[in-house]
Amino acid sequence: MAAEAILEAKGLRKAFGGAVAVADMDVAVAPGEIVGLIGPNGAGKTTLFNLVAGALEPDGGRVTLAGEDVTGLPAHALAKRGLARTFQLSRALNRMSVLDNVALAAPDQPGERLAVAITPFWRKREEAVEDRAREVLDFVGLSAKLDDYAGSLSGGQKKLLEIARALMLEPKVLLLDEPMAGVNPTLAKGIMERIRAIRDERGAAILIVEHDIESIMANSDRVIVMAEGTTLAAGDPETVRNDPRVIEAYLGGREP
Amino acid sequence: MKLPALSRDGREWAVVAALASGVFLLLTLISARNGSVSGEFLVGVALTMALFALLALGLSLQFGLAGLINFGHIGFAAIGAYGVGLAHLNGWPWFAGVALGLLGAVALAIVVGIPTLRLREDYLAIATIGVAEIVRTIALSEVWLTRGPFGIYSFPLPGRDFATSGPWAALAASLGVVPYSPFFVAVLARSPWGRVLRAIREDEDVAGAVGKNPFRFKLQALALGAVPAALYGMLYAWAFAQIIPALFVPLVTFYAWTIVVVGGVTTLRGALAGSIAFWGLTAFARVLRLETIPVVGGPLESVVGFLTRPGPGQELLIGVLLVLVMLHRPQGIVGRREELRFGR
Repeated sequence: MAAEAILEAKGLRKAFGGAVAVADMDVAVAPGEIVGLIGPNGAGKTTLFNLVAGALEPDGGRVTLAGEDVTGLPAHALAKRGLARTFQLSRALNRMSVLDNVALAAPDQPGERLAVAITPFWRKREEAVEDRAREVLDFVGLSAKLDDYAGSLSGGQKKLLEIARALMLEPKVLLLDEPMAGVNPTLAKGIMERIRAIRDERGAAILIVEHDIESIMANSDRVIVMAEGTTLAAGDPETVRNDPRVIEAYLGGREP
Repeated sequence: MKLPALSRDGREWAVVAALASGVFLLLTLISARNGSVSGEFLVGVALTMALFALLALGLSLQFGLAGLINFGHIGFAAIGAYGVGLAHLNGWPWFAGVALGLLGAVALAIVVGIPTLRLREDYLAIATIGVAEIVRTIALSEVWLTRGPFGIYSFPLPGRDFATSGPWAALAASLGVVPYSPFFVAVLARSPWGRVLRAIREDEDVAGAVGKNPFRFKLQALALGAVPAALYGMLYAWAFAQIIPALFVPLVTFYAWTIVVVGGVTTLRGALAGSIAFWGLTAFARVLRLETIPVVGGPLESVVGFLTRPGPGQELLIGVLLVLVMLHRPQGIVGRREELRFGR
């Protein structure tokens, strides 16, 4: 990896009852790089994601964000420290407008404090917040939908809305859980292009879980292959693609 | 000439105004026909509508905005009323009683909220109904503190002699207080604070993922929703000059729930519309005496008699109203349909 990692997880473990979902995982992502996380169904990718994003608490291991130990912190605390995520099944806030979905994520709106909310003093900041939300929605190509209820968007547009919402946090680290799942190929291409732009223009560290291996191989700087809760292979896309263990995991299954 | 088009807010207010005018016009017509309705009765109906709109407003805030299910709303009203009552019994000034009632209700909400709001919302519903009954039972049995079932009939709120001098006075005074509360809540609902709550109502994980602490916001909404309930308790005590535990039975909480559901939970004027419909129907049942229905006799007479006497018959009518609204207008009288339509 080129620069020093901003997000680093070491020795992460998580079991649900007797089932070990993540056994012993190391992940590191540096600013300005896209790391693809792939693996067969049930490999523990989403669990790993939830451990890093604070949705689940790990049984063991450490997560550091910009050098600070953030193991076990709740999601909202991590988001305030610059880590943004999207969800595997898109979770647009359907009964709110597209603009409100994104403006919600603004990290610096004092009107979210009760004492300020009853005064008009937040309005000026809100103009700036909405301007930035419009900018971000324009970046993902949703500027025609600003005032629509998010519930009226298509599946692919909801994925873009989630990316916009995450970008509103001005994240240093962006975790994307299957950002192209269930999206038509044209829009999927558009989403991938936006993700590359986030890396290049904003210098964010990006970790993507994705089933579409071709797209991951074509767009990631590094690829981690996960199987049965641990790292099967890691490295640049070309090396990983030719790794016999990876071919076996995807095509052959393992010997008993 | 075309009438200027009303905004959606304007249309909804027009519906509320039309509903209120319709109810009172009909009641007046009935009274002109058989003389069974006095002016004092009509004023009492209006007063009850205003007070219950205030009580229901707390639920609009907690449920409509934040998705919190509070089945013990009346417990916070009891704290408000007894705050004023205790101040009187102990010889404290009236404003100390008001402060005691408001702070007590907020403190109770925080005490209930801290252990339950981290869990799924069902636990809040169970805990609140239990806590409200505990409050009522304490008021009933701790005679040394609250005079128990004997009640408090004299307390020091200013202008109480004016309020009890006639129902008009109480109505005028309550209408002087009630409208500020929805305005205050509407300001909050439209603020970024309200936006975070709406996000939590829809999907708590998303709100967390964008850096909002759901627990903190839910606790604030629960505590804030207790304030109109406490105000209702004080105003009720003030207007009707009595504080007795029987005023704070669980049934009243469910009247308030019926009001917000009938009126519409997603807009704050829903509480007003629901209260007018609910108490309007109750008033109709009370004034539709047998003689106003010209050709009634035989078995039908006993049915009509059952439905128009206070008690189970009236509650049956309320039930029918609720079912009809749910069937034909599930969003409530002035609720917003599209806010119901989108599932997860």
